[in-house]
Amino acid sequence: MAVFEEYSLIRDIALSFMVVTIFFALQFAIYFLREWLRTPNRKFNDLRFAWSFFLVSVAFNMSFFIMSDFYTSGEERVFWIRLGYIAITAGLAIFSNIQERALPWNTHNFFGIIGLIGVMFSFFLPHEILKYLAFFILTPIYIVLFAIFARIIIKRSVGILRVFAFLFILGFGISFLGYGLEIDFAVEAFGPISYTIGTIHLAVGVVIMSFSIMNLPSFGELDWQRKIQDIYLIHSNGTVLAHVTTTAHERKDSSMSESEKRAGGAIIGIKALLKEVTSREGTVEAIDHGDVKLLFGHTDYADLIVVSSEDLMIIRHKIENFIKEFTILYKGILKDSVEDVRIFRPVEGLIKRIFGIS
Amino acid sequence: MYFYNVESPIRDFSLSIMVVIIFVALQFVITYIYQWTKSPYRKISDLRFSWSIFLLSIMANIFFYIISDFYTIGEERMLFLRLGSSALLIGLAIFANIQERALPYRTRNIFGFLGIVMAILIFFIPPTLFSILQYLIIGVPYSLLFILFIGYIWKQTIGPFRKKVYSFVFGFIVGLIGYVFLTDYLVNVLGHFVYTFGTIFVLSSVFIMSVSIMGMPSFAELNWSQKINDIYLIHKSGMPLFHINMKRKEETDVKDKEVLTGGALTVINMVLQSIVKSGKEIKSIDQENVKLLFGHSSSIILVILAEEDLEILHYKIKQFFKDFFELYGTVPEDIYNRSTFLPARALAMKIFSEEAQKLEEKR
Repeated sequence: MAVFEEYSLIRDIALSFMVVTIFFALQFAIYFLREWLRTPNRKFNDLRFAWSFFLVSVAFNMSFFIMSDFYTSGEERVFWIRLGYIAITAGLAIFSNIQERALPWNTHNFFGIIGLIGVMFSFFLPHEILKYLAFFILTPIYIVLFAIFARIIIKRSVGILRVFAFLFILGFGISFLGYGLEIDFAVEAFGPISYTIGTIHLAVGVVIMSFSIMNLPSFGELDWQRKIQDIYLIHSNGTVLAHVTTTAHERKDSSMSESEKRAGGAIIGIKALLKEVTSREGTVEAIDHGDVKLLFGHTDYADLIVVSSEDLMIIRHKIENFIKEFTILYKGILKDSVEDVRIFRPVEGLIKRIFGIS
Repeated sequence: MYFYNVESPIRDFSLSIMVVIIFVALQFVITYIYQWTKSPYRKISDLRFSWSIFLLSIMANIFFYIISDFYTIGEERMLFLRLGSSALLIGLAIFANIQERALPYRTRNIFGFLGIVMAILIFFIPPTLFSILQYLIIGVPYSLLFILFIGYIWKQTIGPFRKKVYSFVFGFIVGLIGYVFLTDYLVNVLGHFVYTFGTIFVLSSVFIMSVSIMGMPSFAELNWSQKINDIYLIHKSGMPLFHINMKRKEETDVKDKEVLTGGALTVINMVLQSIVKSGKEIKSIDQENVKLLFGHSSSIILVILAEEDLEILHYKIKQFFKDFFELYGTVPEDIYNRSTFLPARALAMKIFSEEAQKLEEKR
């Protein structure tokens, strides 16, 4: 028996909100995929990429549930419900597989595998067993995964990112409640109105979660600011033009210390040596020195070097932003020799602004 | 009649798309109103603001059409049809009223006035003539307004903005076709599926037009950078720190004339201050075809010589100072070393040139 046997206003509202959710899920999926494709050095474990996959699975899940709950009954309905389960568990498996790698401990891809098992069970288990399995086993497991993610993103995020992290959790809570109100148990207990309220919750939840993700970097990159130790702008002749450090001691005056000067010369020396060793004209993008990474950005006569404990996409993105802004300000000023280092005083302000260092 | 008491997937699909239109429009209304309230030089004539009002009217229009086409019949249906068309006309009237002020043509607000009159008259049109008349009333005059409006933006825009104009026109045509598909006449002749196509067309139109508007400049912002002749940054002592001739976009060496200009501008500022006996600083001087716009901060003065005293230029002056102090911290002491201010000059070039801003927006 379908949830809505007869045409009524409650049925129409429920159906419309299901379609609204599908539309928004697809819209955000396209948006995130486009964002991801535009990102240089894109990685598969990017949150946006994983999220767009999950949204597509939600869209499929909703479409199949529309068929099962509005237009079919009996065996045909069970067939569409199965497809709906397959879509959502496949989405969860892919999302977990991608995002588990960002967790600080090795989960051995437990959640991704559970998702795959869920997909397989959805194919052949009788519906009567499947619906209990989904409710009493799969749902708690993914609540645990979500709780872990929630804890990590709240712990790691700072400032405005934390607000978006909370929003994301709120959106998840709302959607989860929405799904809960749509299941057969709830409809049997409270009537079809429960389903209609569920669809409204789902639409609101998907929009809130997607809006939050729009403003959040990947899980593993939330605390990117804490990973940066030093940022140098070094002229191709080895002169340090600017140096910003995130460690406690700040320079008293604007002149460069001996160690800073040495660092500048050393980095340029390494660059030249690498060119010599590799006999290539290409530029260095990153140097991995165990627990410290040196990430490079290049302009005609200067290089930006970010000393960080991790090589993060968001830092690379910030380096690119810096290079763009710096080129606008110093085009025509920066030449093959440095006559007056004082001209570069504003660079420190620019670095602090772009990398959010106060 | 339409889908009243009809039970079919086509009916459900059409209804769902109608609801999606309302939510997509709402999404853009929230985005644009939010952007507008955040904009430091917001004006009522801002394109995004008037577009949000228009989208609100589309939402009301579609809502009334849902009631008329899916849940009512006879006289009651007619009432909701009239309400729907009236809502759309009010939205068009407000949009026209706001945008007509910004257009260079002397339209004497005829479109705004016409919209309001028609929004009332639509309640008195006999039901037999309603369908054809409402499309004549809404379609013909407002298509003309859109042509004028698009023509003006087209003339004023260059490069990437033009693409937005193309897609806006495309969206507009798709929307017109969509609304024609929703008419009783076509549904009676061709069947219910025409209505479904109509809803998809209207949805695509709202989406395409709203996305295009996102990248279009406001009338208030059009060509502002072309109205700037010169930019001076002067120290309070009268020493010019940089000068940009925006027509040539070149830096000339400090010439005697510039030192004189710098000194003169500072003197004007000081003399005026002593005459008006005000602790405040001079904001602008209107010298017929040239306006001098001043910005003061710490010991430096930014002076813009422009053809018009535009609000956006005052905002840009503030933006310059904000960025300047973010980069420099304080005003450097070595004001006689011109190279110290070269980055500040590049910053001014960036802030006061439209091309640079466009690039920034694209990012």
